[in-house]
Amino acid sequence: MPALKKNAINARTSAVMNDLRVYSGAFQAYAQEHGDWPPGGGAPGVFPPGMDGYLNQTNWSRTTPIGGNYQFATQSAQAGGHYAAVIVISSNGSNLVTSDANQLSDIDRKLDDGNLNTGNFFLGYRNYPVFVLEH
Amino acid sequence: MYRVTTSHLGPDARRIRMGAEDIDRGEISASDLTVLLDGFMEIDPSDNEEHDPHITVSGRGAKLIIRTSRGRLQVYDVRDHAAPAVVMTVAEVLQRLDRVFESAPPHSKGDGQPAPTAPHRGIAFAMLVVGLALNGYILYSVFYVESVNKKPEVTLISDADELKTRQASVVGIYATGSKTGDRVIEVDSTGHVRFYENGLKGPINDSKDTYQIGRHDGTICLSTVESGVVDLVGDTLVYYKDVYQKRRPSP
Repeated sequence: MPALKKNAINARTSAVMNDLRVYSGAFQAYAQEHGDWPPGGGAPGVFPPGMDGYLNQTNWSRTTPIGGNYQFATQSAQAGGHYAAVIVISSNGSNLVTSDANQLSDIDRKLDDGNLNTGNFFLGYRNYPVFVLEH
Repeated sequence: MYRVTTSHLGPDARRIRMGAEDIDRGEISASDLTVLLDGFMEIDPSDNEEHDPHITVSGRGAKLIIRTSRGRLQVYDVRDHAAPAVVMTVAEVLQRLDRVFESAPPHSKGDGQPAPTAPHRGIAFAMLVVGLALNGYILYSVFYVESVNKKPEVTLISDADELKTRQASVVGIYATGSKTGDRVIEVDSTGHVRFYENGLKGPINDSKDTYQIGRHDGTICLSTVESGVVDLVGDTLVYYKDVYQKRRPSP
């Protein structure tokens, strides 16, 4: 059973990493074509304005593999700083993002520096995972 | 003493007696049983084959059915019908009848293997305990989740005067800034607190909670029910490392 648990963590990590890779590519493509990030300030799960043709709306709005919803934010206040563009995995009402330290650390190890307080993947407001597109 | 019943046997058990179905011989001593079994082993083989004579004996530790074949005693355990017969001497039969802790274990194959004894039960119990402990550990490791949300231990302020002063000073609206993406915390005087983020079309991630004023690690804080702890540092609030500047008194 511990092996099954580890497999489940690995599977969710892979799914989140894949989502973040696809979404960050889409936002960067938008930024390259328009010279700026799309407007932030949308609620979790709400499709960012202007991202039609870059992002799949259904995928963006669904629950993430670790719970909660994806949220694109600009000039976002996170962990004592402001970030130009980030993707946050936020709890949304009763749809809660995981607080499992093992799961979040696994994502950080494979995606970033393995430290949930530093790097491009860290825990921000209410310990929601934050993936930085631009500092 | 042993309780003995004979079937199809005469008084000395050396001969078949037709019509003597089951005869209860009451309780007899070990020496009388020895004589009876010695005689039983001398029974005529052809009569033995035809009439199936046998002796049923109950002792302290077992109840046995004894048949004979070619001068040997074949012993069956009444409580284990599936087990094959065991060839025994008279002395072994007596020993078996007297062995209390080896009396007719349900899984005994009657092959001379001793039944589980007290030390065996101890080992079985130890294995059971180890198995349960292992299962417990596996379940614990599967279902235990180490959370990143660890709330510090907060001591609530109980002094009425201090509480009143703190309450009055903490009430207000605090924000990380005024642009989209900045966050706001509104603290009112009735013990309610509101958290939200400046969104494109108004507040997003809007949530409300209740608070009590306390201390942790020497810092004054708002301890909320569901939203964790908000530190009060000077005239600012600090929440998940973000500093919220006080804007204006709450209306």
